[in-house]
Amino acid sequence: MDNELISKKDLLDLKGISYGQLYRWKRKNLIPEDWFIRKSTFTGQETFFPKEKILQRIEKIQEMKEDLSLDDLAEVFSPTVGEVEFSTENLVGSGVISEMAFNFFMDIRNFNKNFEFEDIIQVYLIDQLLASGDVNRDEVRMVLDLLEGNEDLLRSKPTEIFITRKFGVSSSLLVSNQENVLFDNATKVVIKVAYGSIAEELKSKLIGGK
Amino acid sequence: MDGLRDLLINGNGSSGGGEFETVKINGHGKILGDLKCDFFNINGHGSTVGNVDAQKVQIDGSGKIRGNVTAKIAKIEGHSSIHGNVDAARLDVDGHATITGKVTATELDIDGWVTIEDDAKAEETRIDGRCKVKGNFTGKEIRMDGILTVKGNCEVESFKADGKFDIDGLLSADQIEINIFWSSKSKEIGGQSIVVKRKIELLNKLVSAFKTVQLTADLIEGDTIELNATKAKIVRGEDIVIGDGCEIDLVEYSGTYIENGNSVVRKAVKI
Repeated sequence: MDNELISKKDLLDLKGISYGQLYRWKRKNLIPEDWFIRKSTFTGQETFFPKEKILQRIEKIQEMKEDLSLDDLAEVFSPTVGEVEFSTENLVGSGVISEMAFNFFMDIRNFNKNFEFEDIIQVYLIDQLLASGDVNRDEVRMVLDLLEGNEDLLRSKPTEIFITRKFGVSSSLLVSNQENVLFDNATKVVIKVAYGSIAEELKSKLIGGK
Repeated sequence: MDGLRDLLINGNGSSGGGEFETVKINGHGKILGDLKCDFFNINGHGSTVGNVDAQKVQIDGSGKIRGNVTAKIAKIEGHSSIHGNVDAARLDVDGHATITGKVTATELDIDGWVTIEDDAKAEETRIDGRCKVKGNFTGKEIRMDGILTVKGNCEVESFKADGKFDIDGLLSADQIEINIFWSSKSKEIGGQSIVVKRKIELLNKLVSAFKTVQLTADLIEGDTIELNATKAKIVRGEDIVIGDGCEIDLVEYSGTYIENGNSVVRKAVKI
């Protein structure tokens, strides 16, 4: 999809940030280590970043750093989750997830324990998928089944969730560390969503709401 | 821990683990099983197979722990090897220690020799002896006077070095203060303020190798940079001062650039 890179130099210039800030943000895990791509240029070794991702991330950091400390920001962007438990009243009441998505989740899962962050991500995902209008309930059910049991992968690697349709039959996939995923012409990609982005979005809503 | 027994092994003995007040091994003792106690002390050739969870851990002899160590204070004065992780408020190494797992500490004080085979994370680190970290070393403050080797990256808030360091990856900190007495190197150095000075001492002037004692780095990037006795390929920053004894291939600066010593800078470009 987007393979465009931007050099470290150009990034600092474009966004008006300094070396000190960039190294500090890297140290605080606001920018993942594997976004730093080394390439040999004629001046020697230079560092590049995936352009779209880094610009988005820097924008978010600059936006949020007035309200949140760097450590809080690191929480928002980290792929791991804290050990917080949420009560269902708080969640639906706060408007972060809809009652419909919550009920859908409860129906499928036969849920009877406390909600952990990863469970909420699933409910939030249901909300986003159904609200988009592109995905039907069976497809959402399929994704939830796929997510269950694959928590380790979701926690450790940047993973994307795909729903595809071919000749009226749907499939769902989890692709981690995606470089290139190509489908044949008859396959339509209905949804492609990065698990990490959903987690971030949800976290910033939850942290922002505090 | 009131009302708990003590476990004392004198001579050749072995015991199971459990919960105790004080656990002491004097001699050739072996403990099999997890231990939870107030004070854990090895005075001879002790070994445990299991995790150790204690308020204070003290190894004076030759200790071998196959398990994780969790303690408020962990003090190693003899020879020890810990095959597991160490999580301590304060880890004090005066002897020789090898830790095959990760070290997490609030205070890390090294006067002896320690090898950490995984990552080290400490809020405050003082190194007067030798410290080798095979993973990444992160934390708040590192002050070193001995020898520090890091195979991964060393990323902290403040790095003050009077000793010798060898970092395979990135040395990054908001404040970096390096006083060169022995040659040091780091593949890359990055941060906010980077100051490298040469420690002038009388003895130094008599040593003929003095001239080649320097800091070597491929890349140095920061907001304000002052370099002396530094050999680097590329130096980038806002305000840069190159003093004495430097050999730099390329300087790229966005603010001010001052050359005020005896150095070789092949190219300096304002960007």
